[in-house]
Amino acid sequence: MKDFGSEVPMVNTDELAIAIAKGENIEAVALAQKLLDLGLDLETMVEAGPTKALESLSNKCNTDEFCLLEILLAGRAMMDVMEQVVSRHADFSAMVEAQNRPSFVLGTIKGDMHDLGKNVVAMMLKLEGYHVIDLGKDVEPAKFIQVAVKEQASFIGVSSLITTTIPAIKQVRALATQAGLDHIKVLAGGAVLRQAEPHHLNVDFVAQNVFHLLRYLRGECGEKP
Amino acid sequence: MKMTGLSRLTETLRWRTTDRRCCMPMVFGYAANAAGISLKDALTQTDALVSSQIIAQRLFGYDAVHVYGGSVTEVESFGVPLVFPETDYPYIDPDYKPVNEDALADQPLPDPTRHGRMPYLLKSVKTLRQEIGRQVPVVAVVTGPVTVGAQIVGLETMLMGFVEQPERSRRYLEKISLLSRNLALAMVDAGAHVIMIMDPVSSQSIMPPEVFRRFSLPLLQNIFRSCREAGVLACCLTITGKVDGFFPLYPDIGADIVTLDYEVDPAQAFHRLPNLVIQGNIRPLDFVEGHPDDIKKECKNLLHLAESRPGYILAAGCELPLNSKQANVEAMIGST
Repeated sequence: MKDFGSEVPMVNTDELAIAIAKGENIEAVALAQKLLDLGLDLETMVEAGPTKALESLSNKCNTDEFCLLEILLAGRAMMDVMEQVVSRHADFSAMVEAQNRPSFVLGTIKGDMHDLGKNVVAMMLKLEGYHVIDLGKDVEPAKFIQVAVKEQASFIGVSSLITTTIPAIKQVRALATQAGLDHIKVLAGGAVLRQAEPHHLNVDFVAQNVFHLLRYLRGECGEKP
Repeated sequence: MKMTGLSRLTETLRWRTTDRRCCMPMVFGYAANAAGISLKDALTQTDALVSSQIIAQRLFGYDAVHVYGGSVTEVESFGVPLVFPETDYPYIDPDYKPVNEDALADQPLPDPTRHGRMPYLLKSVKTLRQEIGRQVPVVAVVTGPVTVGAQIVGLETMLMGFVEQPERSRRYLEKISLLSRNLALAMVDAGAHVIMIMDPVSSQSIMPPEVFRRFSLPLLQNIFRSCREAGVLACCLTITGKVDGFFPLYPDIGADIVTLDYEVDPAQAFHRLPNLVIQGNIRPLDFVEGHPDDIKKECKNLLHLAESRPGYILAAGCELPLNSKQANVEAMIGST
């Protein structure tokens, strides 16, 4: 329980973080609105609710106690709070544009049609504040580079679930270097890729899961973009 | 005296020692690559599938042959359109729009003897049983109902349905599980020694144990129970990724063998699953990127760990990758 001072009645922000982490989206929206109605400022609510919930999921992830269903439910609750509450009180898109967020080009590599894990990563990156350009699935290595140039991206994320795509994944870094994009970090993830070391895939980082990726990005970009 | 693959498996199921460790890698599409046969042919023609399985088994000398049409065999029989690449498994047409859960529940049930590629798979089981089934067990692979459900209605839709409309989810999954059961029984009737249910979506990385208990477990139990009643030699459950949270439920599933992916600690699994035969847990990517010495080392460690445990089968806990190196497969067999 946090006391935000005498001007604001005692409000329990922990309940909001818990509701989001448990995926209770309707309750989360109601609690977020109630906190604002009680006088809590928008930024504090976002920090105490969605941000704290994300951290608690990340901590669960460290002990392998999370699963996709929980992430989907919590992600939906976070999105609902942002879209149904936060955006009513602020021009959220203008806030986001003003932040000049790093761009993240994301896709499932050529030869692979699996995209659910990639979609979850896209959702979490957006919640973390990145400008995500999702290229979908079965994406040619050269396409990642073309879009990264166009969008002035800081990161390229390549996803795959099968081993036969590894030669195509190795091309991404090589093509980026050819295009003079050595500053762009090439990141990989997915059920099969996470068995590999970065040098096996010719990438800068291999994420074990979405939270592992977020922790890496916080190291690269600071606490948040 | 040298045992056959079938006798090795039979004795392993009885927890008796064998002349060498039973080794049953999940050689599915890789068999076609090893045999120099088009994968597309092996996934659509009985002769090609049977030849590739026999050639690869004789080439390496492992202890089983497999009949597997790809993870989309069952959804194809429901009328979901597929794309067949030349050198990879078929996948669902990207233009396919997932069907409504209620519509799925009301759809007619496909017949394993008539629909999709299931008849060709049944014929393959029968032919393999006739050709080498006295020496080598024939393992028929059936996709788990929850995985099939995710393919048809969409994984996210299905997962959210578990939380928001559990009865609706149960209704269509029970429908799908009837197909899984009928296909498994037809495979047993055609001569399969082992029914392997591959259910990658029923993974701890995707659903928590409580959801697994409520949705996947009863369906799997029902299929395995029916196979047992039909006289199958063994039932095998394959769930990739982490599964240790499901261990308390595993003894009740009705499987004789459970596979173990590289992410699970084998020592812990041996301890917590004292009465189930465990198959795994070599890292699949090492067959592609690793050196034979890496494979030998992994196998040595696993075999050492299983020294006093007859109920262990050497393999990876997932399919042998299509682009595995032959020397690495040989290193695994050589380790037994």
